[in-house]
Amino acid sequence: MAKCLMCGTELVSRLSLAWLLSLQPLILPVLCPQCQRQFSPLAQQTTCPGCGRVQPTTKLCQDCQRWQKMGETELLANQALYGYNTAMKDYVQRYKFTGDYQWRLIFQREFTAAVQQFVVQEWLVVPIPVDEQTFEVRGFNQVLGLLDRVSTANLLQFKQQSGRIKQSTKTRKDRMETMQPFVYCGQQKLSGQKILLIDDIYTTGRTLYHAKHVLAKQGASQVRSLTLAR
Amino acid sequence: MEINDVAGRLLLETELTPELRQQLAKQAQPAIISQGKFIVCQRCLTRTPKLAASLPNGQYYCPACLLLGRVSSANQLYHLSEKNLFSPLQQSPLVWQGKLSAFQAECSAQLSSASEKTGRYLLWAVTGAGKTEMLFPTLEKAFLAGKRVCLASPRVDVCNELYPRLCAAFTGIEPTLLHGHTKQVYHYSQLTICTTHQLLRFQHAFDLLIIDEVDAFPFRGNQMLGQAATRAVKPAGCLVYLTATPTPELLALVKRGQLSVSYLPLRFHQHLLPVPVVWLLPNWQRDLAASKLPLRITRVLQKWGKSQQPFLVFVPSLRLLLPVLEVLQQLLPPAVRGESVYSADAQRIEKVQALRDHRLNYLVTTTILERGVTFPALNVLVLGADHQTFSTAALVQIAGRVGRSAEHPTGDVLFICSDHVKNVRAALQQIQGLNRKGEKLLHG
Ligand SMILES: [Zn+2]
Ligand SMILES: [Zn+2]
Ligand SMILES: [Zn+2]
Repeated sequence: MAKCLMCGTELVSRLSLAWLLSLQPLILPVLCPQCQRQFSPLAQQTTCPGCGRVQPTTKLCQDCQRWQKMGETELLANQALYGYNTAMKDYVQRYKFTGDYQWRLIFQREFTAAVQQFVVQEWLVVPIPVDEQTFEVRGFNQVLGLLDRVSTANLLQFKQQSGRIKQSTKTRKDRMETMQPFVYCGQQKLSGQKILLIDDIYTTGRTLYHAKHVLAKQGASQVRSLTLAR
Repeated sequence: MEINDVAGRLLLETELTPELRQQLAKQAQPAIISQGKFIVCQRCLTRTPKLAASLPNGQYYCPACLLLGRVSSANQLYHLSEKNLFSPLQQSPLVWQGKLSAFQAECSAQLSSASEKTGRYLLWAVTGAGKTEMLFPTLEKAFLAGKRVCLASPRVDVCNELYPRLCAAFTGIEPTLLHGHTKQVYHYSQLTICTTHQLLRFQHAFDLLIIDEVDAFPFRGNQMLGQAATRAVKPAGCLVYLTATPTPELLALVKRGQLSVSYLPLRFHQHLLPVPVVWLLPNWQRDLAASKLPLRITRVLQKWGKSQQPFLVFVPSLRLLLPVLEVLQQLLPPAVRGESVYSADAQRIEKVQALRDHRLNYLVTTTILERGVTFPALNVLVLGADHQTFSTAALVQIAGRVGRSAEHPTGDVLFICSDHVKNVRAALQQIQGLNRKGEKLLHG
């Protein structure tokens, strides 16, 4: 019997006759309903068209207006699957920082499906990279872990810099002032390619906009982003 | 951090200072070993299929003991053998002034001599028997003999309660307290008080390891923690299990003669255990759906409310907490105040304290308060005692909350059931069986 990945309670699978007759593939849940309920899906919510955060209106939020003032004429139109609530914070802590790679499975199916929506429309999927040192210690790239058999293009790479401070340990102001951390590492120009950037969390948007600038410079026609949480 | 801090322990390089890491380089062992299609974590001894443990960078990690910090195949474990380098005590460190009852003293003496021998031992003492005090003579003897002792419990709150009591009872020992939420830094000491998870960081450290509430979550049925406990004891040491409600597995070991046991069937105040009264009220849930409770229950609750004595109402599931609380608020006068409490409740500790301080009159609770909490003059109601969340042990523990103080050695325990089930019957049998044993002790 399968167990809930988060709390370990046994999962009761509901194999109805209707399902048996439907010939649909069996999709096994990875979380029990109680754990699932802790997360806040954004699919049916009103969100900011620029960054994907929940808000009462569909107007651009203040942060996104600030990006516009800073010269971003085309915003990332970020799509986020979940709100960054306590449960999501705890999830990220366990998956990414403690390094429980198994927990990628909790959102892998959903994240993959969301990315596939773009792939079929010929968007090229570009993950935000993790730097070499983090990769050695953590053992994985947390964004790639959320994907199941989706081809991605590793077009971004960290500039060789000594003593880079981790994004999560900086204050908001520090983050905003971070200089461009990425360099382009693709083989050729991106003439007219539509790019979907993927990352685990959209916090300030700083990292994603840096990535966008690098790719736009290489000729990408459009750069959007998709994140697990906002 | 000093070199002694590694004695008897099993630590990752990240848990050592760079100096110690260098000094102990020869002692380092791989933290993960490969066995065919499995990896075996050397910290928690759990086997995990490689498929579930592999990382994209080619390493493996152990998902089983992750909450103590991740162990991966890039890590090393460090261990130094325990040499009991304590300064010898000139006089008894026991400064406790209390006195054990004749029955406690008898049981304590049995434990003392058992703890001298290699092997495992069960002390089955009823709820409210005064287990901690009974340990004092055993601990005193062990400290004087220069032994290293650990008191472990699956429950953080038990550790937090034991620590100040042991600090007060013994002078010059300076116990170390270890669990995930303490800010205390580990120090080498003759007495360690810790959660059973922390035992994963020890190897052949203790001459005597006592595990309190051994049947509690998460230790009960947890192979990883069971192995960790066995490994934390020195090969010639003694492992003592302490409980008021032994698991069927422990009782089976006793029956087969593989585990010696001492019983203490009487509470420290020498009154028998309160025997639960069982009411068969098949309609209580239907009534609750209509925002009321059966009249018989209502009358009891109103009587309790009037008495100004605290009471607990146990419910079998989280989703019944609020409906039951609302009904209680309706049928009791506004001056009788209550709250609900559950395991993930951020204000759990505050609410329990409020009941203790009489700022609240009652709590509606899940099984989270089944053990570890004591309130004088308490009454208890269990709604749906026949529900599967209430194991036999849970019901015995819940009944054991009542009549704990010498001033109020009795009280009401009421089990509401829709059906007669084994759990309830077994709990009653166990309590009555212990009372018969207690009766015999008292009257020969
Ligand atoms: Zn769960
Ligand atoms: Zn926005
Ligand atoms: Zn492990």
